[in-house]
Amino acid sequence: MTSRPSAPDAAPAARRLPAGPLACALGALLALSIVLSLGFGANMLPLDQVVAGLRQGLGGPATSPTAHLIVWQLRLPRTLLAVIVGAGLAIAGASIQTLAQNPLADPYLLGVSSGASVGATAVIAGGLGALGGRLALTGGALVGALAASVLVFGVAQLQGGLTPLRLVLTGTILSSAFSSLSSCLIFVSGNQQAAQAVLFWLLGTLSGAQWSNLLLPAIVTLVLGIVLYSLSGWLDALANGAQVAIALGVPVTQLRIALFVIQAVLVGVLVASSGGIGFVGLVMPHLARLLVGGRHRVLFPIAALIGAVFMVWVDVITRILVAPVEIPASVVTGLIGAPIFLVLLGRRTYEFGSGS
Amino acid sequence: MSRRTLLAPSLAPTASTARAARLEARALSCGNQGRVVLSGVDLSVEPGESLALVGPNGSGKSTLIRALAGVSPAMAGRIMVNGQELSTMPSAERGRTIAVVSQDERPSGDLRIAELVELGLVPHRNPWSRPRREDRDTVLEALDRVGLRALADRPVSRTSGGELRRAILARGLVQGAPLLFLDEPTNHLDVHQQLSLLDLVRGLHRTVIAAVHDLDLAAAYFDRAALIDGGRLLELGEAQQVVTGEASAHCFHVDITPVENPRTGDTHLLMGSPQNPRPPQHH
Repeated sequence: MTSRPSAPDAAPAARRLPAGPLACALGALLALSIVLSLGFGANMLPLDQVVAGLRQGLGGPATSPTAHLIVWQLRLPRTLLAVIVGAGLAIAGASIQTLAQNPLADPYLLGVSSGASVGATAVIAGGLGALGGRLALTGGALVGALAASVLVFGVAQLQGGLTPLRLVLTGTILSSAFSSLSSCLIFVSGNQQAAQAVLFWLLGTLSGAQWSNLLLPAIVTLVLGIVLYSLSGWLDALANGAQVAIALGVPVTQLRIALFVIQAVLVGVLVASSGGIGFVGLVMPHLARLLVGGRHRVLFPIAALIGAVFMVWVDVITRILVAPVEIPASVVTGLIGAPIFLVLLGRRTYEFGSGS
Repeated sequence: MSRRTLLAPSLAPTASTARAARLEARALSCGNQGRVVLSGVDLSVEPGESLALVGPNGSGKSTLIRALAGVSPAMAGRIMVNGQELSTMPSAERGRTIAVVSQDERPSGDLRIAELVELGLVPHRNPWSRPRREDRDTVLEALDRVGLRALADRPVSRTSGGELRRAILARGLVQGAPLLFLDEPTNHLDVHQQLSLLDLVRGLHRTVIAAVHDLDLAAAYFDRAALIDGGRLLELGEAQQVVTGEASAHCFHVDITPVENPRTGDTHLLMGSPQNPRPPQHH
């Protein structure tokens, strides 16, 4: 096709950062953040103590038992959980924004967070919390999260499939129903502890991190992150609309179901280990899109790294802002995330693929 | 018009990606959200042939295209592509066989034009494969052919409707499919762009099915035309005859008079309101 000479201002290229170097820089920043974060808390530790504590944990000489206890047993699991949760929520957010074709979708859209709080409340209200302790609570939250997802999935499927609009509407409406259910359970049981637990599951905290409960979220986030990454090409097509993806030979129905299941398991496990931490899954993917564009192959790793760094420092702030009292993680993510999001929205126009 | 193939060596045509395909529909019904829009459609398009779908607004041209391309499932009847039932064709093979340039696509604003065009490689790749060096050449060559090479790195969110339409056509070229569907391909294009796009499509020598608004262009650029209205396929035949026929005049409520261009000898259509005794001298 011939073309007349194009206008001189023809191609103002989109400003983007090269993904490879950016990923390396973020990786280095993350490693640095992990080490530095270990010094912060009710007890401030200088860097040499942090390093000593870390070396002892890695099999080095036992120079400072206190530093080892604080750094290795208390703070490092928290920081690692922050890395896992931050990366996991950012990945989950990026994929659900594509599944729902809605830039305002966050990982809790499918009712996972409120479902988890119903599960946890039910465990406490039913008196099972005293028997099984933290494990029962985590289990209850996980069961609640998955049950909520199955319910949202079923309702959306019955009404005509996992189309973006149905997902958003069904998820939002069932979420508020689950929240009402939690409130009802608290009210009926009259249990003060249940009220506390709901607050925990609504606002999130990393304070429950221990070495023993890191493995599950770490494995789930890593494995599902790799699965999502390997679907990048299809997700790129789906971001332009279902009909476009179908015409490009993507098995859209199967892809949507797979995304839903991955999403439910990933977010369910994260919520069970840290509660519902808001804004990370919503804002980090947008930040990553702004930096490296919308191709999922670069979007997932960059969003995960940014989310991890962000979460590590959020956890530091929750520990030191009004120490020795800890504030919930969502309080901090909300206070930082909302202004970031508004700035991002103001800087650019968001357009997602059209249609169902 | 260049006839060299756009396919990179790695995309060398196989049996399923021959240069042109035969499409056949039998007793096809199609619609939107459970509502039947068209029924009893029988048509076939031979390899390399171009078919224009014409009909008033709302007659179901886009619906028929979506059904024939396998984007929305047909409600009844059969569609065969090269003798293979479309509904049982694996999705990736369908993506390599059929390309669709739809009229209402709004791509993700986070992509650049070249990245939008690169999506044409999706049916040829595993979803996890990284882009290869020759992919960029394939994309740029396709952008060249639609006259958008200079805009390769422009964000999709900052392109005009006409540029977007040409970029989506370039994506269809990269897809390398022998069967090309175009829904109102000349929307948003100025006159020059309309003609050069249709010239380009004709030069591809693929099987083309297009919903066409402009009867003049349908008659000039397409081998055959199908007239649809009132939920039926009313007429199927040589494009000029269908477009200038009585059924067409009746559907569109106009008088259609073919006249010869004294300079080129091409036939053009004059259209006028049936109340007027003489058609106006322009349209």
